[in-house]
Amino acid sequence: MFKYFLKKRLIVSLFMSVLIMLSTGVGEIFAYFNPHNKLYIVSGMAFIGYLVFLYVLYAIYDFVKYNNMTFVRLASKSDAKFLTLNWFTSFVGLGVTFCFLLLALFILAKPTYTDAYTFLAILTMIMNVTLVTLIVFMIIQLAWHLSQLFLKKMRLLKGGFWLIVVQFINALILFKLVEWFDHLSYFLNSYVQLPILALVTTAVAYFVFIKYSEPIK
Amino acid sequence: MTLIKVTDLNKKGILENLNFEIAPGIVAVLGENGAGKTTLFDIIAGLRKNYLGTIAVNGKAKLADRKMLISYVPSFKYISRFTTFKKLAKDFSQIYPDVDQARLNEMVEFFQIDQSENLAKASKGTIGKWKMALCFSRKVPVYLLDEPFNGIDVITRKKIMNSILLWKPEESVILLTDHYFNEISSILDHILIINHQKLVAQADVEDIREQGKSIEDFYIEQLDE
Amino acid sequence: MNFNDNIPIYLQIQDYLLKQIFTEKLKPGERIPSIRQLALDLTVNINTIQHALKGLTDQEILITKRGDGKYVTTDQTLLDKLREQTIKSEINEFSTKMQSYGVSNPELVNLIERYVGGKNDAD
Repeated sequence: MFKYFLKKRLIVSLFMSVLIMLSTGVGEIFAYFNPHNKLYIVSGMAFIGYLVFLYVLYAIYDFVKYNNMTFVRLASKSDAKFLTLNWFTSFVGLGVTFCFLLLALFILAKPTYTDAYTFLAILTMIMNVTLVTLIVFMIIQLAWHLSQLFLKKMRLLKGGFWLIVVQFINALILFKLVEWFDHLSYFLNSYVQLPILALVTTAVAYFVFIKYSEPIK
Repeated sequence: MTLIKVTDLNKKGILENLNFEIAPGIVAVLGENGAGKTTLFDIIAGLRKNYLGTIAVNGKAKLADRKMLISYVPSFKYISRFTTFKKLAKDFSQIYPDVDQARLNEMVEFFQIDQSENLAKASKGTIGKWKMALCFSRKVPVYLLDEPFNGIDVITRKKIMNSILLWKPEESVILLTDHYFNEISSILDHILIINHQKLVAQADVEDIREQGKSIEDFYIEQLDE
Repeated sequence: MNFNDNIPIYLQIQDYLLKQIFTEKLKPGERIPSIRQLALDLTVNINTIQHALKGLTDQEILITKRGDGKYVTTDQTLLDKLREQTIKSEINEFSTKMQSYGVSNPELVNLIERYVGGKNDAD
């Protein structure tokens, strides 16, 4: 069972890692021909941040999927063991990709890594891009589910209702927290906290949605 | 020889005070839609936990112990639609160490399963064959089949019935649910009837026939009471 | 094979095998198909087949050769007697039924002769 999960997780993780390294390579090539233009580096990092964000969302969905898959779940002798394996291998997958992410960031930022301020500024920009993507993503999700609500009233009503509620709370928390954490030091400011919190609340939204949605047969 | 023993099984709103023992053979659990047959199977297989009472297979009542003695392939839900049978079988063999590859290959050939076909393209009948092939590839004492003949054409049904007769290990039990029990009654040993959440009858099929009744007659009779 | 669901199947299988024997599809001394094969051919539970065979073995219509399956007896006298018994029983049942339709025995004989004659002409 462990090998089964690990294989599934690592395949996706390594695939994402390859994508990240490819993006890094492309970014490096552009940067080489335009050494004074930081735009390529920043865009590269932003794109990589976006890939990782998508991968995290996928990892959450994947985790919930296997929890509900009777085909696999029946094979494990204890539910606790199954859940633990599921969690653990998810994190291993995420961890592997995260290592490649850090590697990519260092490669891209190397002309400036002696300049800590610029490095942090670039990191912050990635977070901002991620945050913007997240908000756009949430809006798209909301719009889609609202449309589904009208089209398939009975089926998604329950799940859609909960999704709207959670997303609404999601948005409220995000904007409130920006104010509350603004007074903390630069590294812990809203630019870093916000995307992380947004990620967490979106994860919660996903869990709630998957748990309360009627399965569409 | 008792293979499955269910004692005081209660699940609020679905099953009430079920008590029965099952010996090796081919046993059908009959009852109306929503009578709780699938829930009973889920509970026996260890998919549902909220219930009262005990389930023992070969004397083993602990879930972890009895899970290894049961083969149950209820659904392929959440599995990617692009998964081929070949991949499915490979994954199945990896997560269940007791899969007999030789037998699996025999069944693939018997059912003429196209291993390169994927879930999206497979018909209901084909998926029924897949479930059967995977379920029987494991060498265990208890096989659970939930409505294996549902939506299946006559020829495939005959094939499945023959596969059950061919591959059923001697000291094992096949517990199945079905609505078309008329067509399959010739292979049954024993039946259980569940109505209004309770076990209303349990009998050897040939004993019913000795009384000059058909299984259907007996079933309707029991449901009327 | 389609079975009648309100008569014990083991009896119907015995009947089937007897028919095979009487029509020489299974000859005296011939080995009958294995239990598994019979189960598959007739789509019947193995236990039921065993029950049926046990009955026939008890009547010595089938002989068990250890490790080699079951064989039709070579005792022609027994088989002839059994055939006679079976036919007599069927005739009895048939004539009782005809009586219940108000057909007298002479009329019955006449009708059968005409029926068989008609069939022979058609052949």
